[in-house]
Amino acid sequence: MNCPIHPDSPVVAYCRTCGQPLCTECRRIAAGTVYCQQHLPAIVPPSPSPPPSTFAAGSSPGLAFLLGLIPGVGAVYNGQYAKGIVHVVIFGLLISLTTSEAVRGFEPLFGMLIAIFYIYMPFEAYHTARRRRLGEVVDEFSSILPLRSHAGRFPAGPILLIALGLLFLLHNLELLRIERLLRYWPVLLIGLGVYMLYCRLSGYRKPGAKSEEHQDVNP
Amino acid sequence: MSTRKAALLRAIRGPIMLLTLGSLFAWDHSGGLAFTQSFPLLLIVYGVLKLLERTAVSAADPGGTE
Repeated sequence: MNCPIHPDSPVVAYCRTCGQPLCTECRRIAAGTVYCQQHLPAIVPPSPSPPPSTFAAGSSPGLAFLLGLIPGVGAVYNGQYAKGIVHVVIFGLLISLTTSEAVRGFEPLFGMLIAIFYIYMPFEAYHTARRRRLGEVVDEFSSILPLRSHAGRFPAGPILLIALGLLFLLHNLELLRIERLLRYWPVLLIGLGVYMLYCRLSGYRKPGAKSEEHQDVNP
Repeated sequence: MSTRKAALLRAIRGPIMLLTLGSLFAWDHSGGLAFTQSFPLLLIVYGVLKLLERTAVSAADPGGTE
């Protein structure tokens, strides 16, 4: 059986109100039900409006800023749990480094870094919350180094985890002292530089290498 | 094929972490290594799982997201 209006097209559905046979071109779907053109109910607008309001309710930039004053909590509020952990680890590491004897003479530098990082966290949470409120999709590690942004990239996150685990394990088994190792903290700067260089050189022209301009913010 | 493998790896991550945690606690209680000493194994297991998942994903579609 073919459509009365389009004789070439087969009938695929019937209007719920008048029972007229409809082809794919005549068929109108409203709220999951098939109608013909005449009986199509007035378009109901309320369906698209609720999602933005509920979405916005979950991300208040002001609250994100306040919670960001507690290390890691601002990122957790934005749903970025891994980033929260990274923030806490960086913050704790900076404090541990400053109070350890490994930084002979560099205490002022590390003190400043702690202050800057402490201010950076709430602002970062504020901006992420604002982007979420605008409906933008934010990556788990947005505005941190692109640790796992793309599949082809160097898997820095997992390797870092494994290395940290090995380090702590060796320390706990008393095969190696972390205190002694901390004297070589400038190697971290070298490693960071090499990693950033690698990211810039390998992913420079790739589409989706988006968090490029945010990298400089991270201390 | 590899996408399914990645999904499988993601799905078994939770149970495996739980298994590891349970084993470490059991090891502690049976008089072996204390949990405060053996907790880095959790980090290592998690890292290895993430690494496997990542290699499976990049084998499936190089250049795709996630």
